[in-house]
Amino acid sequence: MGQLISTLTGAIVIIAVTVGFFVGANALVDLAPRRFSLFATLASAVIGAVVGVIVNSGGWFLGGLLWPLGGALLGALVGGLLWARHPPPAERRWRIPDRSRPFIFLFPALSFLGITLVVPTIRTIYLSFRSRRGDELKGVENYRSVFRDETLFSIKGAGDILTSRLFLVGLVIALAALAITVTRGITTRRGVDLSAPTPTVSLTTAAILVLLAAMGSLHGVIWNNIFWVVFVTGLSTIIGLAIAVLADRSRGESVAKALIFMPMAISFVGASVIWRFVYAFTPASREQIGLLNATWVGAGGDPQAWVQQVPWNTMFLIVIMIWIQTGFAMVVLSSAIKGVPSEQLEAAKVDGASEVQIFWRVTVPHIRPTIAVVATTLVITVLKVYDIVKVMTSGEFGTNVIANRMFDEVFINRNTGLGSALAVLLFVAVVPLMVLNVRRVRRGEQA
Amino acid sequence: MSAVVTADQAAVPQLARPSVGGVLHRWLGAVPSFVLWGLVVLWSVPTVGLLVSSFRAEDAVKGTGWWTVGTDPQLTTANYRAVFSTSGSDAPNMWHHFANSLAITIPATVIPIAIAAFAAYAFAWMDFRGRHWLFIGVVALLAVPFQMSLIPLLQLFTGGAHLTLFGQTMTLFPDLDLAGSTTAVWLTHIGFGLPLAIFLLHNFIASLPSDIFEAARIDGADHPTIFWRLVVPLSVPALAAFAIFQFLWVWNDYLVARTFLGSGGSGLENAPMTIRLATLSGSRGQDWHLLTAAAFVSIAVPLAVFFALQRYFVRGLLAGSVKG
Repeated sequence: MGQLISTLTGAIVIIAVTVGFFVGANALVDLAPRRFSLFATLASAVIGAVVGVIVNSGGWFLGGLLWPLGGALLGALVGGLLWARHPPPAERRWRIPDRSRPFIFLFPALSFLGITLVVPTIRTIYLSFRSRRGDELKGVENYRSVFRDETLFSIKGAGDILTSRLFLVGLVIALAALAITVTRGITTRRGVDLSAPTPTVSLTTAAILVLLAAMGSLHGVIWNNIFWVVFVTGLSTIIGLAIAVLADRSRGESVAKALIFMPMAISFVGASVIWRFVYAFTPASREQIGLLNATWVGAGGDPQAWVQQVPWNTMFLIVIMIWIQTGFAMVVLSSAIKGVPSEQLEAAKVDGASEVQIFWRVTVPHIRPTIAVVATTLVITVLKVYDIVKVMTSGEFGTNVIANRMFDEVFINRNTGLGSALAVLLFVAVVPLMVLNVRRVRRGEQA
Repeated sequence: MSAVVTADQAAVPQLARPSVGGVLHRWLGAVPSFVLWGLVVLWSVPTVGLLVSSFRAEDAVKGTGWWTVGTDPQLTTANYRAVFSTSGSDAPNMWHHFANSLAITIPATVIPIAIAAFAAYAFAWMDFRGRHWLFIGVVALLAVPFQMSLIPLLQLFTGGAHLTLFGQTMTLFPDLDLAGSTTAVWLTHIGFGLPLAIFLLHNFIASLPSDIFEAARIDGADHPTIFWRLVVPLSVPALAAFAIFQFLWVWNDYLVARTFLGSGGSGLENAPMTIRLATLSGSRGQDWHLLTAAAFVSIAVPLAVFFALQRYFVRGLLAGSVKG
């Protein structure tokens, strides 16, 4: 309760300061056209007080009030005696309220953004070039150690990919799909179309197999992050799209969608506890209480500690994120599917197109921009994955990710330099998506 | 509607013919619906298991699978009494952390709305130099990972920011000594929520018809009057959409809270429910009767908000889906 009261007091102070600034500043600039000398005196006093507050390092005469009060008085004298004596012409006085209004409306937001996002981002970049405690310049030393540390990044297993069974199966599927598509394209003389259903599905399957092969062979925090991003983005989008299509205009659509969407409302921590229970492991002598092990044992297997077995444990953590994010993909894609013009669907039906053809030739091209939005949003979200790994494994058993390692570097190893470098790594990965977002918004504004 | 019914009726006699093709066709027609509801069940089962287990006795939870509840339906609220209990040094004490979650979430939801509404109005309906580029900057900030801010913000809230020039130390930001306080957490959430708030509200306010603004101008209203009398009342749907989004986001946050509150024994005093749940999962990981009940307590509020206000939540999601 104590926290609740002190926090509410703080919140009321912030609201009072913000609204007070807003009302006060608007009233002040409204004085400028008609009562310029009062405006000049008050505005200069405020500027003087602010300068006084900044210059004062606290704890001086009169409890530190001397500087702000002195500044205000000095400002008032200068403003009242000098500025007020030389008022600008009337038409420029009238422009003062209009010119300053945008600044007054923006100031609270810009100061919060500056303090919490812009300046810290610049400072983190600065810290990433400095030593553990930030007291010495280190150049790119932190970045070099990121890629030299084998727990962070290693290409040792890269050779094993080529000999792994998953990779070979994936390769065979991909080659077969390509061969069939190319021959069919040539024999039917319709040209090679890789976006048709069969090649798309088989190439996607092949890609998943190859990625799984990479997951089995490549180790390190950065690789883990890449697997998280690729698998969650890809699978959430595909499953979300499938559910959106299946649920569209079917009975009980809203119930089905609400249930799939529900995990979005649950915290990552809550979701992790839910899934720890699904993955729970007890020795074979006892009854299994985890759903997965119970199913597995029921099918004749030995109980497994799923989240402790390298390398597939990362996949079991990734499943949790897919469980959460599929609802997001589904909701956004579903609203895009509802936006496909019904005339086009009717026309396709009249022409005798099957459901699959309509989906592939009408719906998908129409919602392609939305798929891109969903994918970028997912990549940005998944890059920062932290809570799930922290709760499930604390980053042990080879499951660590950049955000969790960064936290440990800063708060356990007390190495802000390396921690900042890891944060910058996430930032750099996000920059291309940031550019995409900005472009998208600019296009939208022009249209 | 009537056309659909007729089509169905026309199809029935055709399918009712006992031909092999007809039966096969009907079975194939049902496959999408099987797949859909299969996925729905798959998606719901983990949460149902948690909910069921939270009402089972300790021995039952630890000894048998929750799906056996059908043959042995003995339910109890003992687990919930246990997670709300305050006795013992490692008591879950969930009411306390529930209050902390509220203490963080309320200001972090209310304050950005006010601040963002001012800015969104300026971006939408005021002319000033740099408007376009500033707005682009806000959109860019949507994607910045919060990890970029955490270290400097922690330093700022625990030591302020000072600049020494000519022997005089100036205070650019006062040392508020906020380490370990909920204030540091919600102050941070205000800043992190602002880009989305400004973006969402700007899109909404910019789409309001310009006639009403011109009419108000002609009647002699200035910008502050238009803002309070016209824009705020008209923007209630967008404000609600953002409020729900931000509420769920802050309530569910773990990273920001953990950065400023720590997660050690001493840091738990001000910890929200996410942190308490995570520490329970670490320290009492096998006490499934407690964990399931504690987890359900922590997700009950967001689930209630979600099911009651799903429409607004979806609206916010669709409008802001370039968010990071």
